This record gives sequence, C-alpha cells and structure tokens, in this order.
Amino acid sequence: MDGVQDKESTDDLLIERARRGDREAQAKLLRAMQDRWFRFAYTQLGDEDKSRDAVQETAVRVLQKLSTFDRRSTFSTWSIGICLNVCREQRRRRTGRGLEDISEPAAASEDHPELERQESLGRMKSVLADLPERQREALVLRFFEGHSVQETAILMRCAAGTVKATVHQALRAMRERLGV
Amino acid sequence: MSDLRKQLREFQDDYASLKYPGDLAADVMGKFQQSKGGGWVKLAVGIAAAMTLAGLVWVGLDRQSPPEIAGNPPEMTTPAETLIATDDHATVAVPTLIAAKPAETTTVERPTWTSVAGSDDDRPSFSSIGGMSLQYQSLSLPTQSEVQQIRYEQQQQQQSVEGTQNTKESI
Repeated sequence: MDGVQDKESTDDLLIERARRGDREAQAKLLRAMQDRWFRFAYTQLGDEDKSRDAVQETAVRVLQKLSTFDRRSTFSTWSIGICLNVCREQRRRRTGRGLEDISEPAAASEDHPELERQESLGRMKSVLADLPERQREALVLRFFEGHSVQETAILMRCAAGTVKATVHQALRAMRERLGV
Repeated sequence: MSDLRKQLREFQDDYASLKYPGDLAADVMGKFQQSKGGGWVKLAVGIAAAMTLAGLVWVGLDRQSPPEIAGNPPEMTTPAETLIATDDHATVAVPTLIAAKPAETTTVERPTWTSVAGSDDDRPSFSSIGGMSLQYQSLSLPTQSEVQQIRYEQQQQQQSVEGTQNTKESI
C-alpha cells in the first residue's frame, strides 16, 4: 500500500496549508499522490499519454476543490474519486476501451522466466481491459488500491452490496478468461 | 493459493511499480495558476462592465429634461384696500396683503407603485419614478420695497386714526 494513506493523519497539516493556498504545500500534495493517480488512471484508460492527461486534470480539479474537502473520507480516497470521474469522462470521449491498446509482450520461453512473467501480466492486463467498466473499477479500487467495500461503494456511488456482487462477477469473468 | 490469486498478486506488484512519468507539480501548478488567474480576469472584466453600465444609466438619467411646471407663472398683485369702520363711523382704507393664488390649481401626481414580479415587497419600479412629473405650487411674496410701502401706509393710517381720536377727546 502507498505510504500516503499511512501518513494520512500527519498530512492533515499539509492539506490545511494547501487549502490556504500555500504553493509549496500544494506541490508536496501533488507529488505525494501523482503515482497513485497515475496507476489508477492507467488501469482505467490503458494508455500512458491519456493517463498522464487524466492525472494532470485530476490535479487541477483537486486544487480547485480543495476548499470543499470535508474530511468525511481520507484525502486519498476523496482524490481517487475525482480521478475516477476524470477517467470516466475521458472514456466517454473515446471509442476504444480500457487497456486493449497495451501491446502484448514477447512470446514466452522456458529459458526466459521473466518473459513468461511478462506474458502472464500481459494476459492479465488484457483480461482486465475486457471487463465491463464497472467491474474493472470495482476490482482495481478493491484489490489494487486497497479500499474497503464501504469506501469503494462511496467512490462508485452505489451500495456496498453492489460492490461485493460486482467484484465477485469480475473475479469469475477473469477466472474464465484466464482458464485458471 | 489459487492460480487466479497468484496472478492477481503478481499483477499487484506490477501495478505498484507504475510511476507518473515526470513531476506532476511542475506540470500542473502553472496550469492551475493560469486557470485561477483567468477567474480573476473574468471577475475584473465583469466588475468593469457593470460599472460602465451603471455610469451610462446615471448619465442617461441626468440628461433627462427637467420637470415642467404646470400652469402659468403667477402674477404679482397689488395689495388690496379694505375699509375698516372706526368708532366715529368713519371708514379707513387699510391695505391687506394677500398671497396671490395661482391661476390654475396645480396637482402633484402620486408615483405609481408597481410590484416587482416574483417579490412581495412593493418597491417602486424605476420607470414609475422616471415617469413621475413633478409639479409645485408657487407663492408670491412682496418685494422689500412693497413691504416698506405697506408699512409706511399703515403708519400714516394709524397716525390719522390717533389724530381723530385726540380731536374727539379734546372736543
């Protein structure tokens, strides 16, 4: 898990300074979150350039809306929610889907375990990209971002039961497609 | 551990290794300042436009023609004389000063109060105030020379009355 969430309580001061317009605090906040936003955007958009654009748009919105952050959730959860909305908006503008643009890795060989691992990861990305958007969002938020069911429900604006069911469907679909 | 779980764990490690290519703060802070600055520029332009509009309205109201005075200007009247009976049955002419009345009765129009749509308060609309024609009554006052003339005449009459009384007493 990212160190940002662990330091959430100590980051309160940083957030407060950033809210008051302290540019140094704002820069620190963005640097602390940039990788996390990028990872999430990359799983949703599957393209480095588009993910970078999404992260920059997320950062601008976070700075603009920082005064409305009411601490009902952690800062990282709140900001990932903004990133999720940006990714959804970008997907709507696109005709393509998710991670399908990611190039397949080279063919595996028994003599090259790293290549075998790369192939496995490539297949995983491909399967993830083929999942319906809601299933992909739920799976990434739950398993890769480490959010609780409740937090995921808040971020996806649905009931906790819906999150559980969606994650279950996503795992079943992946199992079928990976043949495991 | 199932194969799916194993593959998910591997993917999780791969996922964690993804990094944003560059410095987000450097990429974004300029954009953010521009967007903030753009907001201030819009606000300043809005305020300037509002002030210009208010100035134009002010100048427009100021250039409106002055209110017309209804009726003819009052004419100066000479003091009338009133006959006063004295004790010796003599009559004395006493000038009386009467304020001249205007030729026509002037009226002041009450402004029409129109309610603003959607609100309960009955504040006057701008047009009703602008449309109000102001009229006023004028009073005629004697000039300084006329007042002196009247006083002189009154003194003369008083002296003549006193003279008559003295004559009667002496008789």
